[in-house]
Amino acid sequence: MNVLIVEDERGLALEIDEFLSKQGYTIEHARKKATAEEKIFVNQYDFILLDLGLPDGDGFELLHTLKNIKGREDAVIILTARGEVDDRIKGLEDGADDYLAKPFSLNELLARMHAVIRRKHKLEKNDIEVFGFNLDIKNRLVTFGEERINLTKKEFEIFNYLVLNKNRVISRVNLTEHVWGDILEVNSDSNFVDVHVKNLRKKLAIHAEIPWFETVRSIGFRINI
Amino acid sequence: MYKLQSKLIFYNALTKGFIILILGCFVMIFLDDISYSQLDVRLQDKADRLIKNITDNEVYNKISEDKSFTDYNVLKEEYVFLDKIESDTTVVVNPNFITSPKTVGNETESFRIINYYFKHKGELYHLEIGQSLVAVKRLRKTILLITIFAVLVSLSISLIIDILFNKVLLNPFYKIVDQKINKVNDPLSYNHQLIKTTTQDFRALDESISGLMNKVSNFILKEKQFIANVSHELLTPISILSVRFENILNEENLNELQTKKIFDSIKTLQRLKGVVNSLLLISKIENHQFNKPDIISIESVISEVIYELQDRAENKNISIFNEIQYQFKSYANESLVHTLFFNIINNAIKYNNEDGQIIVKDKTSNEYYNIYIVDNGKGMEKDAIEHAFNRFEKVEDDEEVLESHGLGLAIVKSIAQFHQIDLEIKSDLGIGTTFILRFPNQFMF
Repeated sequence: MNVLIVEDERGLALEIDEFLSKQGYTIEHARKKATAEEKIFVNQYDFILLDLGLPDGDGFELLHTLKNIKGREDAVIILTARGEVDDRIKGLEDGADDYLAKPFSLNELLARMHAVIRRKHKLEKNDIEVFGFNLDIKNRLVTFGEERINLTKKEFEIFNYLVLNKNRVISRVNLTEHVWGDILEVNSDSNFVDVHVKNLRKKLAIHAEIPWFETVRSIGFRINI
Repeated sequence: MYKLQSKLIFYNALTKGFIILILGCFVMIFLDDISYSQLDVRLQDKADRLIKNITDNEVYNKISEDKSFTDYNVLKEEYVFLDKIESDTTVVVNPNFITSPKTVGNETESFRIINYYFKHKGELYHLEIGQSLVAVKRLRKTILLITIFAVLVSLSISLIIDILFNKVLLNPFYKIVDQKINKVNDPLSYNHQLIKTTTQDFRALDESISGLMNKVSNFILKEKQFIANVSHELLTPISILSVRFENILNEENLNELQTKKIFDSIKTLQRLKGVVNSLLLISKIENHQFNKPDIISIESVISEVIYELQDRAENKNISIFNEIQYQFKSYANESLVHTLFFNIINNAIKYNNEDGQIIVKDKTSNEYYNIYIVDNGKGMEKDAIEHAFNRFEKVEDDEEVLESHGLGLAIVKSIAQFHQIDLEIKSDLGIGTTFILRFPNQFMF
């Protein structure tokens, strides 16, 4: 899959590049609106990560240009430091697929990209197997063999997020932000997420041993696959 | 305080009444003089005619015999008295008018009297003609009644005219106050169209309000721009650092200590982000960049918040009891009110002991709708309560809380001010804290 990162902050663009490359994406960069326009006319992308505040213009204009080209299916995720709610609404009305406020976590970005892919391509069969547990992401169901496991919405979100970011330690703060949204009050005391993880573990452990579900001391959690 | 309109009408009525009253008094005073002088002229005339006729009259002969003569007319309203004066010593003032009571039959009445002295054939005579004042008094009374009636009628007519005129005159003023000041929530959407008026002063007022609104709008726009710039300039470097740390974490050859340090750095950045976003939120609220478009049910917002915070409470085995009984609805900004209750109840959890409890209840009075958030936690010292709403203020010596940014209650304060909600904290060390929110009842429906 190819991704165009339209971002004038070089440092940020390169970090996103590094992360997504490891995930197997092909990355191209544009630091100005003009460059981005040229690239959009020439190539089709699976994803365009679009910063709104570009040095030579507004990201929204670029979005308009893109939407005016017939037959384009490029998914657009807006990245912005402008915390204004009306920007979000405007972006989604103008045809952006999602919105991520800076600063964001790369794990979160990846989760959003996966969600957009699922939505865009209307994947009918979208299941993930984890040591005998089956995650049906479309219907938000977890089964073990034939048996259905009753997870709460939050427990499912946590499981899904950890599986998606497999083999990486996910901090409590990161997990909180993903499940509870971008809450202002982010303290050290995001320990309450433990309540949900504990319950999730209990529900999974009824069916099988789960040594792959690891707690990383004083940091967070990791699912090793 | 009184309305300008009422004051003007009151002033007009007072001055008009005063002027008419003074005129009335003048009339009453001079009415006496006028009627007396009229009477006097008539009496003089009668006296002259009598004296002229008296020489040939037999009345004169009668006087010569009886020394004096009195004659009243039929209705006893007039009399004539004539006598001869023997001695010459009397000082003669001719003619001489007096008013004096006279008893005629068994009734005493005031008479206007003329005394007239004349010589006839060497003898000095004294003529007295009296005219009853009953008729004059009756006339006076009638005139008084007419005057009072005229005063009352003219006063009320002028009052009605004044009221109507003032209404028309002041109408643009009240329109300006109502439409240009009272109904303006957001200077940015101010209607600069001038109110119709022919009064120069009101036009000047309207124009200066318009100018003021322009200035305020400019300030707000500048502030908005500043906030947008600051948010961009601060949040961008935070983003770069945080994704860079994330990438470092994905390196495979990190040891446990290094991993821990990088996670701690990410956490620090999260804290910085929290501070920046909180400060931005506060200044946005204080700059009125939010509005109150939603009719919200306070009860459902609280239920929602309690539901969201359930896991945090459970983590410390704290029970939250929702004892809200009234359905209070208000115009508000739902997400802000949500944040308000989230921060307060979250604080109640944060500063509570393990196995503690939190009660959310309400009460109404004529003027207010109160919500109480009561916890049996650690409580606060008096000094701490005073500073609780200041920015960056937090309960010290508390390890759990040391890393929080201390803006939670500052946000609560600005949201409350924006919605005109009064806040109060009551607390006893070791017993617990009660947070009181007082909603003005006028917003209830």
